[in-house]
Amino acid sequence: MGLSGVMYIYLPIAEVSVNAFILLGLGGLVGVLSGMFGVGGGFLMTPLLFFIGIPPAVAVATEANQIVASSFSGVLAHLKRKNVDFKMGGVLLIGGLIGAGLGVFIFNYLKSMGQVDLLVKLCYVVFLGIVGGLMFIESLGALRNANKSNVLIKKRPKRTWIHVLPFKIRFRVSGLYISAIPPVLVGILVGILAAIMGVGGGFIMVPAMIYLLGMPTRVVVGTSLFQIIFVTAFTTMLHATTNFTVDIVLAVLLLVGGVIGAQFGTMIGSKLKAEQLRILLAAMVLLVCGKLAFDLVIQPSELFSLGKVSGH
Amino acid sequence: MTPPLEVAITVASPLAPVTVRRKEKRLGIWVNVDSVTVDLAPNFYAVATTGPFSDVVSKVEDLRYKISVPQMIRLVSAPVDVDDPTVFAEAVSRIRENLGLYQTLPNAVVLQDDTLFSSSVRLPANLVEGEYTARIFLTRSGKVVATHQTSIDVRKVGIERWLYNLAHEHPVYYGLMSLAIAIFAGWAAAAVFRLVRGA
Repeated sequence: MGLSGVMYIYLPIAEVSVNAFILLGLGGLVGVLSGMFGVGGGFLMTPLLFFIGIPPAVAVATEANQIVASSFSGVLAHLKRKNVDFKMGGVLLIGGLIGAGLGVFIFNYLKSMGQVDLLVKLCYVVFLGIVGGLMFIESLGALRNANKSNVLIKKRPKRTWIHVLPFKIRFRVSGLYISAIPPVLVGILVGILAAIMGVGGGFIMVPAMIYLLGMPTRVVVGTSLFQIIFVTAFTTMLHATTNFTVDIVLAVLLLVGGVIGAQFGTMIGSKLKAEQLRILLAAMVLLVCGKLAFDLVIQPSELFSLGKVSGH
Repeated sequence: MTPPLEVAITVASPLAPVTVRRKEKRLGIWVNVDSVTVDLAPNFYAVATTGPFSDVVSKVEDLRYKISVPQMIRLVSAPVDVDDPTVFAEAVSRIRENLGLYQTLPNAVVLQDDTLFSSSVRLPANLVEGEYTARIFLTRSGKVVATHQTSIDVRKVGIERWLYNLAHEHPVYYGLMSLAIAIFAGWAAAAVFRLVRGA
């Protein structure tokens, strides 16, 4: 057997043979990025898996499983430093579970109509476009203002519509007394995204926790990781039992690469400037978004596709 | 002098229906629009012959015995809302040929003697398990003079088979196992990270 025979590994659920080093490399690359930028990386990994020929339904479900691992790994450090607001995490989780259920329902309905690949890719184009665009503009502005004297005006959170809603709960760790409705809604939105896109949703949840709920930044990351573990675990179970699309061999290979990559990422990240880092990440997000959009617009070489007969 | 004896061998997986979808441009992007269910098609099909296929089996005999790849794809109940259902059946054979699931192998049967022959067919990794059917046709100047049929039990092996079957037959256990592996990996990664930092 030649070397090429050794490198290729058959993924039992995706039912494709892929070069094992490419998977380890992808895991490593996204691991480096998540270590550098402190992001989960699911929103980059899932589209990269599309590009190497993993069926989108398998990529989404397998990423959910992989995010369980990376969030669990991440939350341990935050637990030690007591940076997790369990009560807020629980309220977000209620929304998250409802959202994940809804998301898998939408996912399976569109799958039966043969439109799920399109749904997943369109969601990615929209969200990567928005997140990448905003990040790019913000970091360009930050680079320009870097030379000027930095005047930070720290404002107390004002009383807004958030504070007049009913079902108020006291969140001691976060030092908040707010309605349960906004966190539940944030949870639902993130749960839907987790189920459809195979992401943890930190890139939506973290800003929502800071700007919308007014949580102190100290507890934001730990609390969001805590919620993400359970939502992605629930999503994994739903996809595994209704679509049979969780590929554990793929998940393990990505994990191994990711764990090693994250170590290097943290080292590189501490040596670069924050603004340079962000503009780099923004460029990468926009590049992936552009490639996905391009693939939707140009005529595919094969117009036909085969699928299992539904209800079979 | 009588023309030489030729051999055609086919190997087919169990037949199953398949949904074929066609993309069209809608609002600037390519979207699945029409779909046709092809009633029966094998997931895997190989036909090996001693010479070029058309020399070994005539058109008439192919229609009668259904030997070549296109003959294996059956489109019985064509939908009324699609004008050209046959292109959907052609798409099945084109896509599966590109995936190596349908194989036409001329000159792949070796006659070792007047009556002894051998041939080998490579099965892809993503095959469907089940009772495969092998057919052997003896032909002379394109006409079938004898046929033989036998079944081959095809199974995957090893951990791939175990995982595939667990995922489809006991998805709850498979899901829980996947989560357990993920949690363990996450914990192990954090533990290794602490060690590296501590050192």
